[in-house]
Amino acid sequence: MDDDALTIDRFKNGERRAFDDLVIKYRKSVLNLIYRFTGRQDEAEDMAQEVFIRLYRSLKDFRGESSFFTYLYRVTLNLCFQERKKRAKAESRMSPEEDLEKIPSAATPHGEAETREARETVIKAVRGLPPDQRAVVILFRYHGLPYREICDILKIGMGTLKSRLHRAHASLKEKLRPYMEDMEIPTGTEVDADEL
Amino acid sequence: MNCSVFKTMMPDYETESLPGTTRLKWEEHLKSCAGCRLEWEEWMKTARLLDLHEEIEPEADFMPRLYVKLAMEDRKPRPESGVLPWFLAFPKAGMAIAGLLLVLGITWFAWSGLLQHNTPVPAVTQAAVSAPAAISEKHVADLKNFAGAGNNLLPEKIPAYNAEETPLEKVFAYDEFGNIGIDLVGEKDIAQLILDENRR
Repeated sequence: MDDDALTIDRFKNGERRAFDDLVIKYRKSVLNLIYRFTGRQDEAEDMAQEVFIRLYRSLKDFRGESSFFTYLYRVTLNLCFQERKKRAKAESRMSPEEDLEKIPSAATPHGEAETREARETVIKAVRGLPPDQRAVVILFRYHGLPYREICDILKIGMGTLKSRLHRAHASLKEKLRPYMEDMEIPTGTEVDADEL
Repeated sequence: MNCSVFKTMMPDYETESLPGTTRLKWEEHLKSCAGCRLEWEEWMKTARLLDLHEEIEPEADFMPRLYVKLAMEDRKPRPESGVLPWFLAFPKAGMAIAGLLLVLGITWFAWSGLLQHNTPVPAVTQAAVSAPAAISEKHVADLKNFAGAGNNLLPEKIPAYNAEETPLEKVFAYDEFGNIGIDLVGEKDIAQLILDENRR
């Protein structure tokens, strides 16, 4: 039995503190999952609280058929999808200027206006993806989850997952192309340039 | 390895999850294919740019605000089971099922009404409407005598006749064959008997 399962057992046995432990452990992940999905920091905080309230209501019925982590991310994304539907009309009526106002100010050092602009473009590009592709990119890129776990959370097959990931990346690449010109060849996992 | 497979494996290579042999084949293709090298370069540049979407920290009052909401949640009366929580969780499905039940209900009522219209109405009811005037208090006495003579009708099932409480036409009726019927209106155990007028 993993740590989360033990904590949930404590909660089911009436120990309220166990729920706090879960919130403290996962609040940042949940908050950032929502933030990257919605692109809105101010709303992300309230939505993250709503996730934990839903969790509080449902945790007694949690039977551990999937890991708690998978369950929590599923609850979070379900809320994101619901909110997106609710606000789809409002967003379509919103002008680009209003849209930008919703993006929080970057904590970039003085003189990095270009980076700030790129950052805002990235946020808008991610937010502009279809929800199913957006969820895959966020879970893969920002939460570093393995394929299998993403499949479990979104209840999709491996082929669907890879297809969504590639389509999302292709779309993001086109939107971010203007910022790629001055970038150096990335280092890290790629093949050493001397070998090429 | 062809270009299509190479592209499919880019995220696996990035996360270092390719097995040894496949990884070597992938790297060989990277060296030999200029188009795929460009693809890979753009993949990684996109990944780098996406890193600009920085993490945020929860507000300092995240927990206190949540505690307040949870305390309110604890005070809410909430059904533990039943259909209401399910209905609230899936309102659209709930509305669809309610609509379906409504349609089925209306269909059932319409169908049963049609059946009633086509099925001959029990003779006693017809007679109750058509011939109440033929019934008198004497019939009540006759019926009690009939019951008292050891026939199937139990005397205690026959109420004391009170014309104000129970209109005569609700107690007795003749059917189309001239049989007399009794409906003990007002009794918990309503017995309905058809008595042969000729036997009376």
